[in-house]
Amino acid sequence: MEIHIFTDNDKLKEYFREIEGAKDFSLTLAPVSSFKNTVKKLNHCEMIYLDIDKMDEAEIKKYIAYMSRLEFVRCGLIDPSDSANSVSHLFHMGFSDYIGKKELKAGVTPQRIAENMQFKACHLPPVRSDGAKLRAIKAPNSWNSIKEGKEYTFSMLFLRIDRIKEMKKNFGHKFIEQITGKYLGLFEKSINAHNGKLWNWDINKGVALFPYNENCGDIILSGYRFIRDSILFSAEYLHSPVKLEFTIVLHLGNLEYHKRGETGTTVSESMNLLYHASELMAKPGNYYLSQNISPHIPGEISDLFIEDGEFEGYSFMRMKKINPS
Amino acid sequence: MKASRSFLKQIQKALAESIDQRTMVHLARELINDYDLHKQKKLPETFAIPRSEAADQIVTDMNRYNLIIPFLNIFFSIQFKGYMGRTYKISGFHEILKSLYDMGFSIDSKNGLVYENPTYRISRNWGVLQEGKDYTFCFMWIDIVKYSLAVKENSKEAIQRFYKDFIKIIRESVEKRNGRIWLVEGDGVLAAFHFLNATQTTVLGSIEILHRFFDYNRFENPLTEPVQIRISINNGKCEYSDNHEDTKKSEAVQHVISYEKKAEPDTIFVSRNVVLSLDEIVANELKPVTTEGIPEFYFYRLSWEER
Repeated sequence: MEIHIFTDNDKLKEYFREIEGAKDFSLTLAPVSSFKNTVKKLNHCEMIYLDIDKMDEAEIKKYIAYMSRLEFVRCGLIDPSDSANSVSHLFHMGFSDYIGKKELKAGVTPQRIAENMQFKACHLPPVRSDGAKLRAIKAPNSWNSIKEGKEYTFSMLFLRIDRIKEMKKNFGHKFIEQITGKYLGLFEKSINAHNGKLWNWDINKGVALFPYNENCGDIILSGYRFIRDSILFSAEYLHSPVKLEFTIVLHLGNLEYHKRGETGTTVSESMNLLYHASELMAKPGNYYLSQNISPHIPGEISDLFIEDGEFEGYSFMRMKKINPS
Repeated sequence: MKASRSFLKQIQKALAESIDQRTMVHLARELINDYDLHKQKKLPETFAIPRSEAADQIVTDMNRYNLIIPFLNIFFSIQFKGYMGRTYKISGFHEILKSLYDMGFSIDSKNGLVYENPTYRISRNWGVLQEGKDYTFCFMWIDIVKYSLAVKENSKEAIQRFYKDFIKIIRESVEKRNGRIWLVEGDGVLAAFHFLNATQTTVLGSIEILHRFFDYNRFENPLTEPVQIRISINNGKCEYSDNHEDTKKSEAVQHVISYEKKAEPDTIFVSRNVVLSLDEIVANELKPVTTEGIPEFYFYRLSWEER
């Protein structure tokens, strides 16, 4: 784990001696003036400490506000003069650590950092199949602020209604048209409830995009309920004579956003993976999560997902089958 | 329910234009055994009564005895099911329907039965069932496994919160399918379904309850241990009563309560009679309790692949 300390006091490094020697950590010291420029580029759960010694109250306040908005790193303050007014307030604002005079003198230990990591969960950042880390670009909450041609990080959900050929054979073309049309309505309603958008849809399959934020665990939960409650949707909402089976693949990655219908020229490694995994890896009736999204599985249902191998350099988890025969 | 004059006029017109006087009287006698049209009109039996006058008298009488909706159910059945081997087309049917919707009633498109629209009103008898009359119901009985132990081991506040959630989950799953909660007795709840495809909606409602409790245990349960429930489902004839005790004494209800005891925790136990009337899509979700011979019971459980 990388630990970045922003301080103008070279001697501060001594208090982190134990960390410097520990094999799981790498330590970088940089001047406070480089804080914002460096931090902007960090997004992989690194730990950053800012030394607030010799700063006035207004300056400290400004830095605290800025750091509390950083989502993809863990933050801590170093306060050798114990000047911070309310330490508990810092933790409410999402800080992971506060090192006052006493703690500093005792020296910062690897154990303390490990405890920090447990205290504040930090989602793993998206990675590319070649192992390179992608920069997570938090999308705005409103779709109106998402600009055409700009790259954002999205939760990408592929959904397919399975056994379509078999159903077509048994119930006819008109039935398929009706059922997929109705199902699409239900699917879109559910996507909208999570601030998502249907990106494309073709007869029985399509992709929905959800701007990446801290709520992506809710999308996983929604997918689990979609599969589990399929009998209720099929019989009561779709009035289908057979229970519909779905394949869902959920991935987290970057994509240059283009509107529905104008996606022909979109080149995205993440979208490629989603399609490849859906068409080549996913077995019908299953629900898969890529390694980028699986850290967001709500803890309450994490036991329902199992490791299911690798595909194109990514590891995948699969939801356990329901009522297996 | 006292109906408006214009609504009664619609029914009277529809009666007169759709069926003869003899059939009208027969329909009235389904509700009032000794209904005598001439007596009601205070005319000698030999006196001929014009069809429209007969319809007017019958509708007026049904309204006076508060039987207008039950009478409509019988009247509509001649179009949906037929009467004495013949089916009728009711004149002005859609106008009557429109008035019914405006008054807060719906119609079961399968068998033409009128019932109150749950969006406006939820009453025990769906606004139409009559005390003392026999009807076919599908019953669902839900019970919590080892509830008394949970009461002992948890704080009063936790139990109160749980109990409120327990009833809420059941009520939502039952009433959105036009079922009614008829009895809440400690940790046991009896729900009844009568309209639409009653057996199918009962089973689907029970599946929703089981699924929601699965989530409840993981996300919200304030108790120290996960809550397990048992659900049993059975259908049968039962005399409708506003009295809870009378309801409980009926054979069909006694059966559904006794079936629950046979069920494993977190399982829905369904009688064969119910399964026989289910659409294939729902029946396929149930497994027979015994594989030898004809099974008496079927069950549903939310199980997960083991690895």
